[in-house]
This record gives sequence, C-alpha cells and structure tokens, in this order.
Amino acid sequence: MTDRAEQVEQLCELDRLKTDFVSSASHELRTPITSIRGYLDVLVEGEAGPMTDEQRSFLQVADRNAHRLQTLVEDLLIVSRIESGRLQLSVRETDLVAAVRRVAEGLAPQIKQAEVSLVLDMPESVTLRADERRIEQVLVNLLSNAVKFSPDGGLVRVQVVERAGVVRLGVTDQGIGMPEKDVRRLFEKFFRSTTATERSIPGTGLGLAICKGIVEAHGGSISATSAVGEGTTMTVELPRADQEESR
Amino acid sequence: MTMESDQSPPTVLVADDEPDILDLVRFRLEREGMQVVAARDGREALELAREHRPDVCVLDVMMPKLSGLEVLSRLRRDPQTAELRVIMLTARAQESDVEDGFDSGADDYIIKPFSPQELRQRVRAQLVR
Repeated sequence: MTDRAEQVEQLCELDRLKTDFVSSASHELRTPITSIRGYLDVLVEGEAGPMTDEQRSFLQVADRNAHRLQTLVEDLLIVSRIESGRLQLSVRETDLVAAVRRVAEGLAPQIKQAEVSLVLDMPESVTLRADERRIEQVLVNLLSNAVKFSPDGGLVRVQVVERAGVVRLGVTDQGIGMPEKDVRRLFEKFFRSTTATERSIPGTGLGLAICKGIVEAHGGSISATSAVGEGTTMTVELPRADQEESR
Repeated sequence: MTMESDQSPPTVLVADDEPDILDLVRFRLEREGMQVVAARDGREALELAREHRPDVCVLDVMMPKLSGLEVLSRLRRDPQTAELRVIMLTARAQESDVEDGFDSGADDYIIKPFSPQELRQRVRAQLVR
C-alpha cells in the first residue's frame, strides 16, 4: 500500500471513531435530559404542589433550555447517523402537500408572532414515496428558518410543483439573505451565515446539514439562492417514484 | 375493565432500568389512581408480572438481564400470563425492534422520549379495552 493510501485509510478510521464518539455521547446525554424535563414538567404542572407564578416561570426557563439541549442532542445524533450512513428511512406513500400544511399549522404560533404572511402555492396533493417524519423534519427546518430570518410583515412563499417525475419544493423568504460565499457553505454542519451571526439570530448550524442528509438519502437534492437584504430561496427536489425502498 | 367501575385500583407494572425515570412514571401513574409495581430489570419484571398479574405492563425494550422483548415473549408463552396487556417503550433508533415487538405480541408501543400525557393515555387505553 502506498503511503498516501495508508494515510487516507487512517483519516477515514479517525473520522469513523469521531462519528462513533458523537453518537454514543449523544445517547448518554439523552437519558438525563429526559429525566430533567420530566421532573420539571411535574413541578410546572403543579402536580407536586402549588407553585407561585414566579417559581413556575423560572422552571419554564429551565425547561426551555433543557429542551434546547435535547434538540441539539437529537440533531447531533441524526448528523452522526447521516455521516456514518446509518440514517434509516421508513419509506411509504407520502403526500407532500398535506405534510406542508401540517407543518405550517404546527408553526402557526411562530408565524403569527413574527407577523409573517405565509403563502402556500401548491396543487391539491402530490404523493411520493418518502419517510414522512423525516420529510416533515426538513419542512420544519426550512419553514422555521424562513420565518426566523424574515422581517416583520415579510412574506414567506412555499411552492410545490411536479414535473417530469420530479417534485420541486421551494421556500422563499424576503429576509436578510446572505452573500454568495456563505451560500456555498450553507449545508456544512455548524456553518452559520455571517448575516445570521451578526444579528445574533440563534441557531446551531445543524438544521440545513440535516436537511441535506435527509433529502439526499431520498435520492433528492437541495440548493439555495440568496441575496443580502433581499431574501433566500431554498429548493428541494425529490424523485416522484422509483425510489429506493429504504436504507 | 375500566378504572371507574372497578373497585380496586388497576395495577400497572413499569419496568425501566433508569431509576429516576421509573420514579417519575410511578409518581404520575399513582396520581392517576393506579397502583404501580416497579421493576428495574427484565428478570424482576418477569417475576413481578407473574406474581401480581398487573392489568397493564409497561416494558422498556433495553433492559439489563432480560430485554423487554424477551420478557414479552416469555409472558406470552406462559398460559398464566399470556393475556396480560403489554406496552413496549422504545427509543426511536430501535423502531425495527418495535415491529419485532408486535410480532411477539405487544399490544402497543411508545417511542421515547414520550410525554407523561402520552404514557397516561396509552395506559388508560389498555385499561378500558
């Protein structure tokens, strides 16, 4: 074996070890977080005795942060699964349009709070073979990003079109956008656009890396176009049929 | 059997190797008026199930000594316990195990992390069946 081949092999092994480490660390973090949230919930619900409003609101802050931690841990687990090729899909007939509606409904409070108008430009239904839960995860990510980066009163448009066996989903916002150099790195894990960090908009930089992993596991692709101060469009393309059953 | 019509409170066996989770589940189900029998591993779960014949068993899949699925299949093989209602608790990553669980005769399953309300509802659903 040449030196170079050996080096490559060592690096790959190192990368596998790192992925394994992230995966087991995340598993170990899960249980205590579940416990913390469960006990906080008992207290907040007043099941262990009455709470003053202030006590309850402090516990809610603790729970909100535990929830953040839990989301981060779950995201890290998915990223490590994607990286090690162990992301399992339960593929079945899925209506993408219905999924968009469900996700939009779930995000209604955030949409309302951000004073954003959501426009859904979709046919009655578009079915494809996909892992419904994972696809919803992608939709939650894209829609909540669009809302998060929108100005008050901004417009978010979701478009679904089907053509020649390809289903295309577009999510367009009129938000802060980002420069071309950021667009190129947008799907790298932990990468955050300068326009987001400058404004201290919270985020982990994992959401779009996860979206990319999920979409690609479905045999599809994801891309972005953006202009600073004008907005961003995220485009997902998924094959309509003849997909792999599962991975 | 329904909780409303029954004189004695329904008995629920809960098996989980995480003591903090076990205590929490016990606290919440007891507040619902149920009597809770707790087991910290699969073997204990099997013994307590045979001894108490609970109305519902809630078994974690991942447990030391005997896995939840193994407990389930032993319960089903024994005519004395074959009819017990069993709910499996499982992590998202073991969803294929869940299908195995249905094959070995679980009545329901709950995916972790679950909300206390969800657990309560699923246990109740088994009690009124």
